[in-house]
Amino acid sequence: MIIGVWVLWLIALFIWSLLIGGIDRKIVAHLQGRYGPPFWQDITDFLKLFRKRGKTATRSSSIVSDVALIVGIIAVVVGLSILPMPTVGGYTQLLSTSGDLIILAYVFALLAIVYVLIGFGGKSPYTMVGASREVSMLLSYEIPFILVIVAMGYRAILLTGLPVSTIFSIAGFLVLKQKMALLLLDPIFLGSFLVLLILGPAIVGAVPFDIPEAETEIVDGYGAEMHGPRLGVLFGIKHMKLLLYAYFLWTIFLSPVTSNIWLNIIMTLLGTLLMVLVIYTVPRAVSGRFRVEQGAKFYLLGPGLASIVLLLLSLI
Amino acid sequence: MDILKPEKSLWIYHLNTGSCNGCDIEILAALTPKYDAERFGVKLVGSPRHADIVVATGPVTAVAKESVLRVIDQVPDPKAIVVVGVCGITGGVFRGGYSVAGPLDTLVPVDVYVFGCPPKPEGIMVGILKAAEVLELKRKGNYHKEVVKISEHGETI
Ligand code: SF4
Repeated sequence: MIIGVWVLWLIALFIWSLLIGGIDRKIVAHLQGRYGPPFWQDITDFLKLFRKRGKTATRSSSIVSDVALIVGIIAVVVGLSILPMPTVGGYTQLLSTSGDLIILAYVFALLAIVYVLIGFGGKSPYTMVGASREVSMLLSYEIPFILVIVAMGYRAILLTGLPVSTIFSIAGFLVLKQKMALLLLDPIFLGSFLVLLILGPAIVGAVPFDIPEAETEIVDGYGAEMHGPRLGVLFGIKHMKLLLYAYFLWTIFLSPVTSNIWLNIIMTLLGTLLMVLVIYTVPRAVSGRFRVEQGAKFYLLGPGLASIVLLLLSLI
Repeated sequence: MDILKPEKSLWIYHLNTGSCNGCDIEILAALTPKYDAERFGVKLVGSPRHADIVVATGPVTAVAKESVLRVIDQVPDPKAIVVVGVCGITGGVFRGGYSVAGPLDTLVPVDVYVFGCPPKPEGIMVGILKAAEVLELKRKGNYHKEVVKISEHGETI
């Protein structure tokens, strides 16, 4: 029963991720004084890609990109099975372990590695450069990301009094959310939230940190050799990664807990949209692209130092 | 339903085959907020493998010929080719030059011609939308090669 509901939720979230992509394009268009595409544009784009038939470059390895895409789909499914789904009486996880927050961190890293694999599978100079840029971005944002997650875990067990073995469990955060009205009232969680917001554009590959894609310099980077249905799957994975990160921020930090299932569903959908606006749409509308060393320096010096301070404070 | 129609999603690839850059500026002008091509689902892509429509400019120089053919071959089917500017259509002022291997339609089938030196962004937009109609005919299997000619202001000639 719960698996059936969860599959429906997964499909709904996938359609929502495509709609969010269209809404984002519409909002950016309005910010620039244009009409922009219809808000279902990304659904049309996604479906169209499955009707295209092209030739794969002889040097590209389709096996590597196919494996990478399958890993990407699995990573998205695992991520969504861990994040709490709105149900009657609150939020429930389909799969819950004592270390699911770490699994979630792995999911984001794995999705970045999927892009790297696709880039190396493409075997063109552009895809290779895209892949190596993705690796350098991964190294610069992953350190603050993990440190912040550790700081959050320590703080959660301190505040809930749960055993140390549950330090990285999302269930612990759900308990905490019932105790505290708003997690952001706590300075450590507020700091962690802000660091995660700043890390957002790099994790989801948004401007100004869409350095691995950079379509004007390296013709779309790692995905340059993808076409047709494979590009469609990659397009879907990118949308789901954005949704997954927005969903993670919303459910851990902000989502209010109510017992009405419909209210929970609507708030989750609107909450993810709000997070996407903050981490994706606004940066994309107001800034240009950074160079790779600027991006790496920014993350290591800004969120990197902030995450070390947060970790030390959470241990005190 | 529009949402399911592939012709509502037009990813274009801009191919310069050796133009003077005049037509290229106008193509980019057609994509700026003033003309807002995105409202028709148009998106400029960086890789020919992602494209539906190739918007080509220039007379195809001898050095560019091989690359142009390779790039057009990389575009997945169904695809449409729009030639922008008289250079791409007839060779223009460069016709007969020792370094010219074009015009493009002597090398690959072209679907839409947009006249002008350079055409206005309005003409280029109409050309792209006509290419969408060509894509629809190709998808439905009743495409008969008919040349679509657009004036620089966007009227069908
Ligand atoms: S048609 Fe005119 S503007 Fe366009 S490339 Fe040729 S010379 Fe330049």
